[in-house]
Amino acid sequence: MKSLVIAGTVLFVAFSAFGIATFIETKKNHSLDDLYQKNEIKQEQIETKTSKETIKKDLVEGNYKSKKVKLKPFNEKVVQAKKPKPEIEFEKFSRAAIENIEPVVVEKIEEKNN
Amino acid sequence: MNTRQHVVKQSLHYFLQILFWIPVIFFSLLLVWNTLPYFNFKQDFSFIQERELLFKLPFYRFCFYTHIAAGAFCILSALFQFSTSIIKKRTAIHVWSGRIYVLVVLLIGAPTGMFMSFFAKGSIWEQILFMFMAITWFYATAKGLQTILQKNVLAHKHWMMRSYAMAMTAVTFRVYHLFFYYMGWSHLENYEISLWISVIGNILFAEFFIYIKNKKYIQTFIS
Repeated sequence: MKSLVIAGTVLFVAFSAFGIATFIETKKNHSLDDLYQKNEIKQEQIETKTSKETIKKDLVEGNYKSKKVKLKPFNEKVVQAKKPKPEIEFEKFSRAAIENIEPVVVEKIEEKNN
Repeated sequence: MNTRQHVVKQSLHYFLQILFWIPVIFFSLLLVWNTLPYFNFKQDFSFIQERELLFKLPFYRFCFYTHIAAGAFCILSALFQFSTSIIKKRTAIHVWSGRIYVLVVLLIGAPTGMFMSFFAKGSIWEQILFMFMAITWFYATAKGLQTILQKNVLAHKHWMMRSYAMAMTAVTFRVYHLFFYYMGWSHLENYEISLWISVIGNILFAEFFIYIKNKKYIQTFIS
């Protein structure tokens, strides 16, 4: 039984020494605080993802009533109004702009240049 | 003391024992039950995910699994150690489960706990606290073994109580953690405070128990 205590003490000291060595080695590359912080961010991401998935699932399965999600009635006018406006082509825009320049302004610029 | 007073005193003693042992047994079994899923060796536990980098170290992984197995075994076997009827009527059970408890603590539980304490979550103070726990657990168990080999039963009892108090920090920590969680405390704050309360609380409880049973309290450390 005495040898058990001696064996235990040797193991205990060896594990402590190895712990210190591994700790120093790990700290060279990573900070433990960083590790836990990173994981906290990861945890937040998981939670957000899960909540999004839950909402989606609720909507699909028709649980929206329990979550008090209000669905707007379908309105064609509203949909049309929300359609993005067609972009004006640059060439047409510039040509139109040139054509619309008032001759008075052009004359004034020419006077200044002279 | 008349008979009525004696009966009341004895009933109170049994009542307090039940009040103490029912939650202890329940939470100990719950802890062991919750430890079992870890032995499918999958990584999808929040405890492991939180230590993803550490779990890439094979020796840390080895220490973790052996430590939780040893801890679960110690907590289970210790439940038989304090029963007076087992000690008196089934001495062999007490002796053999005690031998295995000592073997597991000295060769597995405390050394692996010491290794893992260097990577404990929290500040440097939490790491020191885990180291203190490992050292105290080892020392108290070794003293418990030494005293029983010297046939000093009373001192053996005291040292094994101290050892058990350290083993039970795993249980009390989770109870406090759950309690503070429902109080709405933030995770890290809850973790640190639960840890300190569980370690210091268990030590104080064990020392108080030893103190009220002994008039010469200081001698319990020397013997």
